[in-house]
Amino acid sequence: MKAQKGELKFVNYTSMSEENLTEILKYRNSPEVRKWMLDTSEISVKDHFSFIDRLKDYSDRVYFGVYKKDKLIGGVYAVDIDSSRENCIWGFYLSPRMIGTGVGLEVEFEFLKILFEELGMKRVSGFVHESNRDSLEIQDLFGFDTLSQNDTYIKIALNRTNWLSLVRDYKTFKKNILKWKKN
Amino acid sequence: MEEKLMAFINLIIAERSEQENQSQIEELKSDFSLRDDLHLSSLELASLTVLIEDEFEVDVFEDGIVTTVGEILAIIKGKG
Repeated sequence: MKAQKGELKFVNYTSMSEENLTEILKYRNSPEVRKWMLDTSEISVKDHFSFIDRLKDYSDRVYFGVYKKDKLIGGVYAVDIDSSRENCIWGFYLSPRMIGTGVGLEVEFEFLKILFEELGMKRVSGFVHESNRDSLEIQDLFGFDTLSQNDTYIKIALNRTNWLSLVRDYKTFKKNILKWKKN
Repeated sequence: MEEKLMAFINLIIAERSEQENQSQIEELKSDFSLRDDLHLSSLELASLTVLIEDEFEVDVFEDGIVTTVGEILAIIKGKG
């Protein structure tokens, strides 16, 4: 699957070049990205490509490379996709160079749009490191609810009704941030 | 232009300062990192781009990565 969303393009890992797949592993293994992951260990090149080879056999997970202006900037994924209950767990990470540039907000908006409006999810859940204040602030903006929390991670969820109450395009959504921050 | 940009950044810092004791910027240097020097969060960066877009009619992040004050100013000047 390839999907153009606003200025972003989402390309299934199974359709990406070996060069880009190697690049995305570098992003995933960088200390800036790994520190927020549930599994903070490094992934080997062999395991990475072996995993991608098996991806086509699974229907309960999707992984996409994210491109902006045709440049790879990160990866997004949805796992534990339950088609009957229409829910999944999602996440994303960016190239270390892109962290702190504000593009994560756009990636999240457009990927949630895919999950709710193309893959038909009724609820999406995720995990945020409790000290990742940047991410927690963004999840609050999107209207995620906290489901549970341990010493390290907060489990959050957003349902489709809440998603549909947001504006339909990223540019308008971004303009509403200032209003949201004042409330 | 620099004054306007500084005003926008101080507006964002002022909103943050209601919860954290943080002083306003008195001088804006071109090599200031948006992240490391001004400590702008992703949401604050998005807010800044909206303010800039409304004032100068340019999306500073549209064509790539912007990490410093100087890069923002260059894009605004380039647009003019």
